[in-house]
Amino acid sequence: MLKRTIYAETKKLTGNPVWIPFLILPLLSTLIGTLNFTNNLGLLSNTWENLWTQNTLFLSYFFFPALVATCCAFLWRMEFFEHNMNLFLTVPVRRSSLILGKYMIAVCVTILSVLWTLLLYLLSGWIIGIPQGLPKQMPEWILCGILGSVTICSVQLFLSLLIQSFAVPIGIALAGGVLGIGFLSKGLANFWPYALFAYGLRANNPDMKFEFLPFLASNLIFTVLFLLLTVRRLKKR
Amino acid sequence: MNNYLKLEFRKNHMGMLLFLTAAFLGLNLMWLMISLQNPNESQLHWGWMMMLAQMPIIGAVLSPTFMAVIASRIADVEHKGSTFKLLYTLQSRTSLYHAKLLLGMIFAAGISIGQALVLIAVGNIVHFEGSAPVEKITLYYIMSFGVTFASYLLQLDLSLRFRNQMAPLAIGILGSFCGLFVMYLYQFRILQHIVLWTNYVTLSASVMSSYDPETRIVQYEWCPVNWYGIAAVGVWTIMLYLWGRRMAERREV
Repeated sequence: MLKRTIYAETKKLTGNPVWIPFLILPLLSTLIGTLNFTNNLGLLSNTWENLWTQNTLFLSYFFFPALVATCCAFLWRMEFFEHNMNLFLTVPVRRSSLILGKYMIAVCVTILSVLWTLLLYLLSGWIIGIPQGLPKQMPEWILCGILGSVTICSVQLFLSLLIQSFAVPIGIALAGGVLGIGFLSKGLANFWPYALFAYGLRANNPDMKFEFLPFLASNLIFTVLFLLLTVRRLKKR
Repeated sequence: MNNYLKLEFRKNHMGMLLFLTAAFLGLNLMWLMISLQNPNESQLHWGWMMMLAQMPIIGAVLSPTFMAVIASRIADVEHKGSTFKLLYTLQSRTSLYHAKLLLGMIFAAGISIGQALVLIAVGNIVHFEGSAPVEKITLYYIMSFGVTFASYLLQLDLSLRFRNQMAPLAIGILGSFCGLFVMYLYQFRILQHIVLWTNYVTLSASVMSSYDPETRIVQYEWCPVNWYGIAAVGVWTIMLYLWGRRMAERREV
């Protein structure tokens, strides 16, 4: 059943350029980061770690949560229009499958975006000619970043269903990302879902102390909690 | 126009918009407080100038997306209810556009005043040296209002143009990022003026004049009024207004 709901969601998105901002934003982020990196080579050492920080800092704090929010809001918006919700709720499919269908689409888009960010990072490092080999921790940054992004998807999917406004959840995501800086600086990133993406990517400091298990637990708890809340909310409609 | 504006106030759930505005100002406050957690002597000495150099960056990061959210909410109410056809038989097309524009102008003004008050409040809480340079702060926030209003105009035009609100919101977010990107291209001054969102920074009242990496001491200096930046924002505002008005007049419903 889940396969079919995912198929239905992809059908709904046919012709909608949801992917364009996810393509452009990491590109801009890489351009800014690389430019800043090359301009400050006197202050920064010429390493992959420093390039990673420059490429992902702005993206992970401010723009990525808002962009994920745009995608999730768009997934719900189609249902809020023209009585589509009536149809959506009367299909003979479990509510949880309906939610998971949307969730999987959001997750796929964000994962592709993170991988695209990685590809651009490798390309930019190769172009400016960083001498050392690639950092060994890089797969871990990506995996943790993906985990963090998946958590934001679940939060935003819930908020977009709850608030039923396209714009407001995006504003909340922007605010959440900025608040995340505070949680990160206090070492409380595991307690704030919007901080998990930047924390997982190690955007602020690739050599920071990082404990995987609490991070994984936090992601799991937030993801499951918000997905359950979304299903519950949909059941109550 | 007064009645149309009142109608806009009623159509849009003002509670949510006011909550968002308060949250936005709260974020500004929090950002400044985090950056000044343990201020050193240099920060206290250069405090006001440092804040006036930092606030444009905060503006460039947060304001365009925030104005996109406000504009989308104000425009989307008509898309959701498919009310254009009905409203255009009850009021002139331009009056609807002007009412939405005025509502946004009130929000842009509120945000600019709020940001100025936040800056003064932070300065007094942290005890910067000297009194607040009220004249500089006022001048900057008048110019900042111009940029915020122009970005609202752009977002309103896009939100009215596209039924799918993903496009204007994505443009708002990408615009913020573009603004940041161009900010680093010091050698392309003209480009900095052309990109609307970068003008938060080009119109800045103060700027970092020197930085010693060893002692980490930063010095600031006041900037003269950037007339090119003001002209660029003025041209943007006029063009966006004319475009939006033309779209409203020719809209097919």
